[in-house]
Parts: sequence; structure tokens; C-alpha cells
Amino acid sequence: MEAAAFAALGILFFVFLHWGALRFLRAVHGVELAGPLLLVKILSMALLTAFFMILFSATITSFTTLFFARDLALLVHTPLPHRTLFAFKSLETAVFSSWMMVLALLPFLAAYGRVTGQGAGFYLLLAVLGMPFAWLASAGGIGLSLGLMRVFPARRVRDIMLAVAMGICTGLFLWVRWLAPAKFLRADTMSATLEYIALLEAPSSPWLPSTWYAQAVAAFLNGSAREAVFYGAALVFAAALAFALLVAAGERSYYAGWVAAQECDRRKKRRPLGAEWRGVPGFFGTRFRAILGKDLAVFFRDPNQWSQLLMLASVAAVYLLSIHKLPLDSRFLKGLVSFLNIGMTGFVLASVALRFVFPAVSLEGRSWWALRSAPLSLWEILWSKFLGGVAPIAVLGVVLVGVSNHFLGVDPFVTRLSNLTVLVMAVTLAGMGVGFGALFPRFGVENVAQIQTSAGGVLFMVTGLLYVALTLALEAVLMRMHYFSAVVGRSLWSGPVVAAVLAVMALLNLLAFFLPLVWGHRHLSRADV
Amino acid sequence: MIRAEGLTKRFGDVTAVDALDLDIAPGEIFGYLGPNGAGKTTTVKLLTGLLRPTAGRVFIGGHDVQADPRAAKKILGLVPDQPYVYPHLTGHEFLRFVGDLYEVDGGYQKKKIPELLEMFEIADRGDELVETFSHGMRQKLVLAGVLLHQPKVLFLDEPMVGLDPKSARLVKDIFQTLARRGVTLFMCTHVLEIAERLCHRVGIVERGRVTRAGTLAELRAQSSSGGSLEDVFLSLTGGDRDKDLLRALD
Repeated sequence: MEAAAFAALGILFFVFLHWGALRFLRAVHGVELAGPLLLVKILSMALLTAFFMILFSATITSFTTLFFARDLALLVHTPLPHRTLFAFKSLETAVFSSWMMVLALLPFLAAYGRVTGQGAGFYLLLAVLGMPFAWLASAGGIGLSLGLMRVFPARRVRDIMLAVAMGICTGLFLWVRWLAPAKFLRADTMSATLEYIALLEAPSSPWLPSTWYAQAVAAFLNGSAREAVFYGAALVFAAALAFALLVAAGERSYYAGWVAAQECDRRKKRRPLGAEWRGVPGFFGTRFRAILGKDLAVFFRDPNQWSQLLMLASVAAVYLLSIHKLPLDSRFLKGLVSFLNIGMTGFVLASVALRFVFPAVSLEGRSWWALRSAPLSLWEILWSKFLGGVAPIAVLGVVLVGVSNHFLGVDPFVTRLSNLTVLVMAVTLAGMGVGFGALFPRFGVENVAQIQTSAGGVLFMVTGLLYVALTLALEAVLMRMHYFSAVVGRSLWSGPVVAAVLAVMALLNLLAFFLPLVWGHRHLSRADV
Repeated sequence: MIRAEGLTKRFGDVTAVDALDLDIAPGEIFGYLGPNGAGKTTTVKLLTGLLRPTAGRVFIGGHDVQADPRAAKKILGLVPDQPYVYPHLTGHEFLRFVGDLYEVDGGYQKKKIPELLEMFEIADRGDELVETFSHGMRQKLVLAGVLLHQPKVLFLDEPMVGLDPKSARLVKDIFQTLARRGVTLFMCTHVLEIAERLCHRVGIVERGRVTRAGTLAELRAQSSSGGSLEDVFLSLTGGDRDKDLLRALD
């Protein structure tokens, strides 16, 4: 019953995403002269983002799948050649790191095909070229971790993740800024239409697989088969070459890297009770403090967990810079963007909750028995996870919305509304994250990325985004009254409407907060641990 | 001190524990023996409240484990079959974590934790991450954690696995001392010599049912073969049939 409800929710979400993408792409397609070129540019940007996301995910995932997975101890000692083992594990890593991105792109790509009026051939092309594209991004990440494992000893390699993640994030940041999406919105900032068209026609970067993919699709849409085959062949050839090179590199250094990974640095002593432990305020009480301190210590000692902070920081920076650069010269546009800003912040908070709150229960792992056999109730455990997650999310939300509102120069009403909304959303999303995490625990997994990309993680994200969309829809009623009052110069506020909106919002938040927690509690209390 | 009434656990069509009745007195060491997959670990999970029974009730020190889990868990300690401990905590931190969960006084923890680490001979590694510990060291750490909060009832699921002979001897002495002080011990083990030497009573479980229970003398009387607990166990569980199979290998 629950599974069917969640499946229906998932399908609903994808239909909703598809509908949104369809409306957006139709509007872009309708732009005179530059419409079709803008579409290609948007596709290129989407693919570029997907490429870097898969690359980042593959880098983190491959450390576990290739070097720390429990099954490797058995597999390495079978007669299976190390080259074959490495090749299979690499393909497995590619699937793990790319399936979620592919799923997220599907509604967008389907809308793309509909807007440009394409048939089965278009989707076939997307599927056929999608595989080498995803593989190339994954191979980049796998190659990176293989190289690092070869050059650095096992313990240090995980510390080096800091530099790697930072490099990838900076790269992503620069590419996105280099494409300057704000420019495309405003043709009038260009000195001449021709200059604008020339900018759109220029490929993003001729050496990036996302460009080949986008160019192949664009050529297919234009009917130039030769060009489509050229870019498609480039993608397939590069993927084959990457496979051959990776397997050759794996043959030389995979086993040595695996052996190094099994060695632990015993000399690395820590002071009794880390600073993380003492950092938790005393008013939480002894038991909550113990759990929070333990979670904090584990978080900052596990590179798989803290390295994601860098990714998050770069996404936040890109977002704030984009807001800063937006050309907003009309009151209406400013109002619209500041309203959408609440939704975007909600989206960021949902993503953060997926990365840091949803896995909280699962990360107890096989040590879950220590908590469950202790004299504290399951509710106390769930509340401690909630308390640990809600504070950072709320702070991030308030900072994001505060800085972006400052850039946008919004009026006091919107500032107050957005601050309050973000705080409420932070609490609800943290509760949802813990609840869904308890409902779909994965105590046996070896990598936090596997928890986030599990079916439960996807469902949490879908539900979280639906919640954000509903919140935004309800707030649209208030924003509308606020702006129309300003336009006509008299108050258009309606007391009953405001009361109804607030009542629905309270109900929505109560349901979104408590239902997953109650379901999660029920599931965990019955689960065999 | 430990009482189970009609304790049953079913996983779909499989009955892992079938109408188990137990009554173990304070200060008693009760050995729980059985072949692999007989339902020993499931029984421990049910008795410690890690698993909800399909039917029946469990009382620890008079507290119903399902109705009043906190009171029951406050006086029980668990050493699970696999000593999984947070790999990114140090040994010292894990003990502090356990002490805080059981609200053991801070001053007492400060004094007792180094003593326990010293006693189990892991003091020099106490400030290293648990991920660098061997299986035996983790087992010692879990045992130290259990002793820190001074439980009245102790559940031990294969407590000797991974311990070196010296540590195993130490642990056996600790168990006997605890029992003399009135602590009740429920111990699953495959090592029949340990059960024979330590346990006041023994229960033999097969396919989720306790088929025999009593002192070693009582079990000897029930089986066709006298002698050691191993002989009695094999005779009662039909293990001596394997002798014919082994002969076929020759």
C-alpha cells in the first residue's frame, strides 16, 4: 500500500517536472530568431551540469566500490584477472553514479523532444549517445580515484579528497559562470542581434563530451546527418578509448591501490574526546549530547561525508552570484525573482537534507545495535537525528535567502515572508529527512552516496520538492495580494483568504513533518536489526 | 531475573523462535546452545528488545521489555555476535559514548574507562580510531563498554570469538565474578567446553524450540551417552549421525 502510494507520488512528480520543462522550453522555442539556438544552449548547459555531477559522484563512489567494498576481499583472491575485476567494478561504479542523473534528465529530455516535434529516432539517439556520455563522465571520476590511490598512501588519499572535490567544484563553478546564463535572458544587452546569434552559435567548449552530445542532438534536429554522425562518433570513440585506457591503467595499478587501501595508519592518534564532542551545548542533556557529539565526530572524520560540503558551498556560491548578476530593472521582474527565490532556496534545502539528514539513521550502520540496546526510546534517537540536522539547514536557508534578498533589494514584506518560510521549510524538511531515512534505512551500505541515491532517497527528494512546490503555490496567493496592492495603490488584502492560506500551510507542514516520522518510527520498531 | 513466556518470532512462514519459556534466576549463568541457524541470535534480540516478538512476553528484572523498554534496557547489557563499533570513533570515545547513553556519572567514567582499557590490554590503542582495531580488540572494547554501565543482566552472543587465550581466560573470570555478585548471564556459545565450565544451567535449542534444559547432570541423565557436554549435546541434537558421513569420506 505504502509502496503504491510512493510510486504514484513519484510518477506524479515526473509528470509535474515534465509539464514544467515543457512550458519553459515552449516559451524559449517561441523566441524570435534565437529560439532554436537558445534551446541547444540550454541543452548544452543541462548536459554540462550532468557531466560534472556524474564525474563528482563517480569520484566519491569509486573509492568505495573499487577499493573499500567488502566483496573485494573475496573477489581479489579468486582466479578472476584483476583487469577483468577492475573493468566490471568500473562499469558498476558508472551505473551507481549516473542512474539518478539520467532519471532526473528524463522529464526534461522528453519535453525537449516534444517541443522540437521529434519522433522515436530522437529518443533512440539520446539513449544511444547517453551511454557513452555517462560512461565518459564516470571514467573521469574512476581514473581520478585510481590515480590518487596509486600516488598517495591509503589514508592520505581520503584526505586528498578535499583538494579533488575543491578542484571539481571550482571547475563546475567556472564553467557555469563562463556560460553566463543571465546573458542569454537579455538579448538587448548585446550591441547587435548578430552578435547575440554568434554567441549562441558558438559551442561551449569543443573538447567537452557534453558539447559533442548537444551538438549531435542539434545536428539531428537540423537534419544534418553528417554532423550528427561526426559528433556521435566522437562521443562513442572517446568512450571506447577511455575504457581501453582505464582498463590498461587498472591492469597496472589497481591491485597495488587495493592493497594500499587495506592498510590503516595506526600512528594517527587522536586526543581523548574530539573537539566535536565538546562543541555540543550541555542543555541537550547527556544522551542527546552523546549522540550529537558522536555524529559530529564521525561526520568530520569521514571524507565521504564532509567532502559533500564543498559541492554544496559551490552550488550556493553559483546561485548567489547568479542572483547578483541578474539584470532586474522592472519592479515586476524583481518581485517575480524574489518570489521564485523562496522556491529555489527550498530546492537547495531539500538537496541538503537529502545529503545530510536523510542518511542520518542509515549511517548508524552495523553499530545500530549500540543505540537500540541502550535505555533510550526510538523517538529519542529520531529526535536527536532531527536536532542534529535542523540547525545547519536552517542557518544555510536563512543565509541564502538573506543574501539573495539583499542582492535583489526586496521590500520588508517579502524579506519577512521569505525568512519565515525558509525557517519553517528547514524544520519540515529536516523532519521529513529523518522520517524518510527511518522508513528506508540502509544499514548495510558502505558509502553515503549509496544511501542518497537509493529508492528511498529519490522518494524523499520527490516528496520534498513537491512540498516546496506546494508551499510556493500557497505563498503565490499572498505575494499576489501584496504586489497588486502596491500596483493599484490600495489594499487588496482579504482576511479570510489569508486565514485560509495560513491554515492550509500549517496543515501541510504538520503532515509533511509528522507523517514520515511516524511511518519511519513504525518501520524501525518492527525491523530486524 | 530473565523471564520469557511463550516467546515466539515468525518471519513469514519461518518460525525462528517457537513458544520459548525461560526463567533464569539472579546470579545464574545460563548457556544457550544449538546448531547454526537454530534461533539463538534471534532469541537474544527478542530478549534485549532489539526485535519485536510475534507472540509472548519478556521480563528483565520484572520490567516488560516491550511495554517498558527503557527500564528493562537500563539494567541489561548486550555483547552482540559481531562487535560492530563506529569505525570513526576512538576506543576511548566509544566507551564515553556508551557511558553517556547509560547516564553513567562523568567522574566515574573518567576513572573507570582507563581502568577498563588497561584491564583488556588496549590502553595503548585507546586513542586510535576503532577502524584500525582487530576483531578481538573490538570484542574487548564491547565487553569494556558493557562493564562500564554495570548491568544486572548480561546477554552474551558468542563472547569468546576472536579473543586470544589470555583474554578469554580473563573474560571467563570476569563472568564468574559477576555471577557471584548477583549478575545474571545469558550466554550463546558454540564452545561447549566454556559452557561446561561456566554455566549453571544449559538450554539446547533446535529449530526455534528449546528441546532440553537443565544442569549438566540433568542433561546427561536425559541423553543416551554420558561424558562431556559435547557428547551430550551431539547425542541430543543428533550430531553423532555425522560420524557415518565422515566414514563415507574415507
